[in-house]
Amino acid sequence: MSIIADMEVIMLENSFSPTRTPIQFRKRIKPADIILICSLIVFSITLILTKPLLQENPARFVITHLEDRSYEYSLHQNQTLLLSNNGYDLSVVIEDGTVFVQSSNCRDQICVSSKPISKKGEIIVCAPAKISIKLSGEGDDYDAVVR
Amino acid sequence: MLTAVALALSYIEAITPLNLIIPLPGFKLGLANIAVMAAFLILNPVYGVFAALAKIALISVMFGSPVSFWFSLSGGIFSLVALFLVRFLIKDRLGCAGIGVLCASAHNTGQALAACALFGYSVLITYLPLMLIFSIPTGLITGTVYHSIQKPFYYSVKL
Repeated sequence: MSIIADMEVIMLENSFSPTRTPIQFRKRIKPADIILICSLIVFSITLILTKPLLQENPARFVITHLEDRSYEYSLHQNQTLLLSNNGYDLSVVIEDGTVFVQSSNCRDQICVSSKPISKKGEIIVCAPAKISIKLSGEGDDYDAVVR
Repeated sequence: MLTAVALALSYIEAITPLNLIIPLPGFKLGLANIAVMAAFLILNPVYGVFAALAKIALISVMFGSPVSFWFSLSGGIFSLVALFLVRFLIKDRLGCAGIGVLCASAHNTGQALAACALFGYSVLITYLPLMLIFSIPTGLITGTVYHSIQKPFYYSVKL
């Protein structure tokens, strides 16, 4: 720890010299350092926490899968789809970027009571009719970039 | 000036390229920055700038690829700007550890921006926080080494 004592002595000597001494010897750590480090941590934690909100994953297509065939529709075009499979008829409405089942002649009506879907990956299913309605985006989304 | 460049190169060759095992892509210990800081803060800012640019050019030619050159360059420019801030604006309010952290985080931010220019803005959200968090320990290492070295270096140059 004599290094620190040396430094104090030298800084003292420097302050007595006639010429203006340039700022050269700094202490190892100061209060401003702690502030800097803490603000960096806070900033990066904020970024990590708001990441799901800032990333945009827009859904663009409605894919209906009927047992053995699939159809694709644009999410942005308001339309009403009539899907029939396995003896059941579903009326699916695409409106204002959301999709819901308007009516169905299945017994349990789970598909009709499902909430409208609007985000990528959401899905509505009618089990008796073996129909599933899914929203998908532009393509594959990268979770991480590896070089 | 040549001694500063030589120092920078020797530090880089010693440890920095070997740490590809654990950290993120494009992440390095930045020991070369110690020499840049010493050249910049003790000798003369001009020497520091020259040393930094020479180091970036030579290292990317010897070890890296064209991609790594742009990453190093943008990181180096940011870290030089940080050094300018310290020397002329912040002056003495920041200790050595803080200077190291500031330079490291500036360097990593520059690299993250280069990544976003090359790969698209979506990687920025994932890349930047991790780089900033990892820049704190590396900046502390760099700053602490600089603190131990500043006095001997000053005397070896002035005498």
